[in-house]
Amino acid sequence: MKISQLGRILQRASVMHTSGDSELAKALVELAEILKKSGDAEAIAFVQRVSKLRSVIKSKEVS
Amino acid sequence: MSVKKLLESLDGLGAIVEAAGAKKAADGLRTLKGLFGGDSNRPAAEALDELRDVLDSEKLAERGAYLKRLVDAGTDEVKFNSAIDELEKDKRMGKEGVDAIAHGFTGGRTKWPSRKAAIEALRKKFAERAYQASKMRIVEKYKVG
Repeated sequence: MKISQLGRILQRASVMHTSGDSELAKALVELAEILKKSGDAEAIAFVQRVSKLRSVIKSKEVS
Repeated sequence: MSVKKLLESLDGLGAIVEAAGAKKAADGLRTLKGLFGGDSNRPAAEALDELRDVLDSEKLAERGAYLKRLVDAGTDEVKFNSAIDELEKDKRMGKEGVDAIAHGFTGGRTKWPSRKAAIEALRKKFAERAYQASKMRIVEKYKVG
């Protein structure tokens, strides 16, 4: 499933928590925003991309 | 709130959507847990900031790469068109990204009314530079001494 679609699901899910756990609601909205702004990749490909980016950043920090 | 709680929430949400028959969405939500490596006891806000930083660094690198290609093309139309055609089709480069590239290339304004307008500004600036360069070549030819 595409991350933009997952972002929309998280956005809707955050509404369920607004009156209860507002911190969780906020975190879900933030994650939804990040996903919506990150293009239209498939979830697996996106997670792999982030993991690769982290490795690149880490290797730059080391060198 | 900790990352652990956010991950549990993704699991819970996955279970709900799966029960509703949306297996792909459930799998997708569980996959997202892979975005949060490291210590699950750290604050979720911190993990989200880190994720944002990682993605921003990618965006900046991609923008920089496009800008470099456009600048390096100089007055070579083939090279410039190849770079700008690719940029125009690249869906990962949203309006904000193209605005930043156009600002870097033109040295002018920072925002345009639309992504298309920013692309047009890039083409226009290239045409101006190419025209100036060809004019200078003609002037050079007629230079005395």
